[in-house]
Amino acid sequence: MSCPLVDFSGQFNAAFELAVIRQGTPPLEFRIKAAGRRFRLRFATAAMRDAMLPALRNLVIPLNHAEPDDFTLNIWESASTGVQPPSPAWPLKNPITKGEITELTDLRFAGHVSHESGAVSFYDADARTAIFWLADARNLRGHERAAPFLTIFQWCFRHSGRQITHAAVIGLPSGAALLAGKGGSGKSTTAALGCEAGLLHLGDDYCLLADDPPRAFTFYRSVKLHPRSLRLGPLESWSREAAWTAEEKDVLLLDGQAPREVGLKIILLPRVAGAGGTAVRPAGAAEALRALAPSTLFQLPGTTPSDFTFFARLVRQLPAFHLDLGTDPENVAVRVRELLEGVKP
Amino acid sequence: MGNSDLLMSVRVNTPDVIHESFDSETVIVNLRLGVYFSLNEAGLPLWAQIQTGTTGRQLFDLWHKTHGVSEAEAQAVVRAFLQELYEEQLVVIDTEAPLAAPFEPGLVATPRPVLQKFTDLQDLLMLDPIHEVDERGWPHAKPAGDMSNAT
Repeated sequence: MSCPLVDFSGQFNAAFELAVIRQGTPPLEFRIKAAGRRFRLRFATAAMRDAMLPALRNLVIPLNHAEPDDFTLNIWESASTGVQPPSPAWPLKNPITKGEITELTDLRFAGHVSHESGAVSFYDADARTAIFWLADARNLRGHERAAPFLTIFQWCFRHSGRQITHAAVIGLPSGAALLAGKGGSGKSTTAALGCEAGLLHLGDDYCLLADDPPRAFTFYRSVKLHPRSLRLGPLESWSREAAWTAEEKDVLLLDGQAPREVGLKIILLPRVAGAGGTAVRPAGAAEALRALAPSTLFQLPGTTPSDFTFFARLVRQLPAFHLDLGTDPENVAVRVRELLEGVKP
Repeated sequence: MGNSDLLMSVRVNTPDVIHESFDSETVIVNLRLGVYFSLNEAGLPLWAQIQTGTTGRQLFDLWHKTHGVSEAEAQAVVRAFLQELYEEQLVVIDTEAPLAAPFEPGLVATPRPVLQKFTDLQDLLMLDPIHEVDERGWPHAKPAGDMSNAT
């Protein structure tokens, strides 16, 4: 007896292969490595490659790298291939929260649709494969290009001790700061100011963490900054580097090579104070958890109570501080550096 | 207070609700509703009891013994707390009767359990009108605002 989801998965993959045939050339293949996991990206079209790969270029490893792939992603669009995805043989009627398609999700499979671009991600945990389909690459939103395949990576890292987290990470080779807080709290600006002052930049908006021991892995190289942040003195030159826009923000792609991973030393909870110098105050673990966990849990599909437990373990291991951002942007990185150099792991 | 309050069983509304307790605060998250809470130190013993599954009687007794207040005061505090937890869908209360007695602040001695609610991230949980597909069918969503084929 066939399983509807297995059949659907087969049809979806067959549609990808047909899209490749229609293109008349082999898929455009790249391999990337993040947090020790190797992903093979197979783009059916150059349009999808050009849209989705730039924010991952820092993770690319040679195609002939000896280590085997952990996951394979088949990526295609209908606009330039003329191939449509299959429709499930059953109605999709359940409400969709966070893009999760419950009718395409069980213990093995997971389905997601983007509210904005309509992109569909479909994951097969047993086969360790995923499909990313879009009607037209031009439909992709700026933030989706800044954090490509976010949902698929979330599924792939599930149960691995790695956690995609809505936060930013900057630091020194000897230890890094995790910047936590809701949108608009100043995470990205603090991270950019730190980067400009010579600190390592391991992630903006979405970063990749482990908790045993606490550490951050290099992940997306994109940075999203509001124009008002780009008017800050140290960041004025960054405004000329914008690769594209994401809603009201500019997206920049960092070129520097950060280490594959850095240990986490502290959690910082930035807040735009707007006056005086940047000040640091101790914060409680519960405050850190409130700043860190809900924004990730409410945004990413497929999150589970175990993700919350991950964040709870993390905040119990790291000292946390409020970072009240003052009006002197130069001072921000100085205070972060002082904290990193003064706190022993 | 009626017998129903004494006998009602109270438990955490899992799996929608997840929580973590620290020395002076418990963080509670309602994954389904996209809201989260901070419960103060005074509420921690009650929440710890609720985690293991408990009854109204046990919670009243716990507050009564811990704080040395009268039974009436303990009942008022605990009832108000349970009412708030119930309304926020953080607990499931199994009883045939509703939580009836009104809160009587005049009776209540400090400290009190205080539940602080955060709704600032609630809009991250969006319901998607993906069922409104265009003429090509799934997964081609109808453009926002296009209600031409709405029934």
